[in-house]
Amino acid sequence: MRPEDYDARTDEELVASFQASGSEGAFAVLWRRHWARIYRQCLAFAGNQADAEDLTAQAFTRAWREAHRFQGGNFLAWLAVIARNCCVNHVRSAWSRLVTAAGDEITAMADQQHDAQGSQEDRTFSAELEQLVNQLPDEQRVAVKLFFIDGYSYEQIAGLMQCDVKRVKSYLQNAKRKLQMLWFEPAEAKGKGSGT
Amino acid sequence: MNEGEFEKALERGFAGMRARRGPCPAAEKLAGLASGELPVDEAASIRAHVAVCGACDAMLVRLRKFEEAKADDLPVDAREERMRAKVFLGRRVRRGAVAVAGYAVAAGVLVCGYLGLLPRRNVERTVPSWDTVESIGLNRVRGGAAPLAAKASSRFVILSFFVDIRPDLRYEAVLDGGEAKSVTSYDGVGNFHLVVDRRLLGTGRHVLTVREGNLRTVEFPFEMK
Repeated sequence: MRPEDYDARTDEELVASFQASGSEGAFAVLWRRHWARIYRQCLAFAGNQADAEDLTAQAFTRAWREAHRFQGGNFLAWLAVIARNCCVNHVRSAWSRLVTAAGDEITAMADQQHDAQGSQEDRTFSAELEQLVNQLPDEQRVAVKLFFIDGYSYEQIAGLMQCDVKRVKSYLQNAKRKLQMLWFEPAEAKGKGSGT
Repeated sequence: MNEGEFEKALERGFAGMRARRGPCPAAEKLAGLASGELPVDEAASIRAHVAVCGACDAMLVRLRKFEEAKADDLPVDAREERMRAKVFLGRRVRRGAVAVAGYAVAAGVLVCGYLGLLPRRNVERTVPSWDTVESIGLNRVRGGAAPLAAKASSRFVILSFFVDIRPDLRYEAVLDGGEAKSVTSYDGVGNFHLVVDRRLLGTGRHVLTVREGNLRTVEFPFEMK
């Protein structure tokens, strides 16, 4: 296939050509068609341009390396799954040290407070609180869970949420205020829906 | 319940949520939930876990944004040439460089072997005691936020850091513009350890620079007490 013919081919034909001959021209057309969409998704996930650019390049590099595994179907969907895996691995790697460090503390906290879970009243309150927490906006909800349930420190949460400690404290303060407001609202106003 | 009691009840309420949490699902399940591909029963059980787990909720929020961006057709503001170079040019350069480096190393080993210059195995080495080695984690996001401390008795410090790597590239680390040291991620994912002499980490600001081939550099600014 001459390079100028590539533009007229479907994605799947281009992948087949790349699989057969390793033609860089075929892959270049796939790149041109899809990099912006993959970048946009990576940017939405990572929240910053530098990481999004790295993740996009990583996804295409992996697609190049693993093109022989593509068995037909929608190439863009296949590519998007690769990009998503790159994104997830990227975040996991960055979190891994924080998660490992906090894991023991969380278990210890759960053991310590196990006795406090006994009463029916506590269980009812906890279930209602869960509903209220899940009505909070994304950032507040995540910060509250990471701090009060998962047991991370302000600094760790700042690392996980890619913001500064001041912002984390502000999320937590606003969330507590909102939870209190929701709790003391009339009963019919509670439990309107879940954020997750 | 008044406001003071509510404050105390919050702690017990969160403890109850923690006790209900159970093990975290695989990231693929969260991705399935975000894209609406999970069967109803499974989706409900994952949702119940996410409702009481901060780490999974944070991941799910990001995965939802990833899915939502599919429908977005707005033009993007990105350095396309930089990414393209990483995917295409990087490969060509690496292929050529690996071949040349391979021949050079093989030739070097043969010549050194012939001249008897290869290192012998039974050379005694001084291994520092673990009491004198300290570990410090560097974080690019929070870099330099709080001064780090190392004991005066430490002889060596292990700097731990993370760089999102590509497995086929070469990485070098430079402390405060000094000598470049070749580094390799110990887990193949991007976590590195670099052992440095404690005396190089005096009070004040320092920068650890990690070079990824000729493509980019990542800096870890930090401050020592």
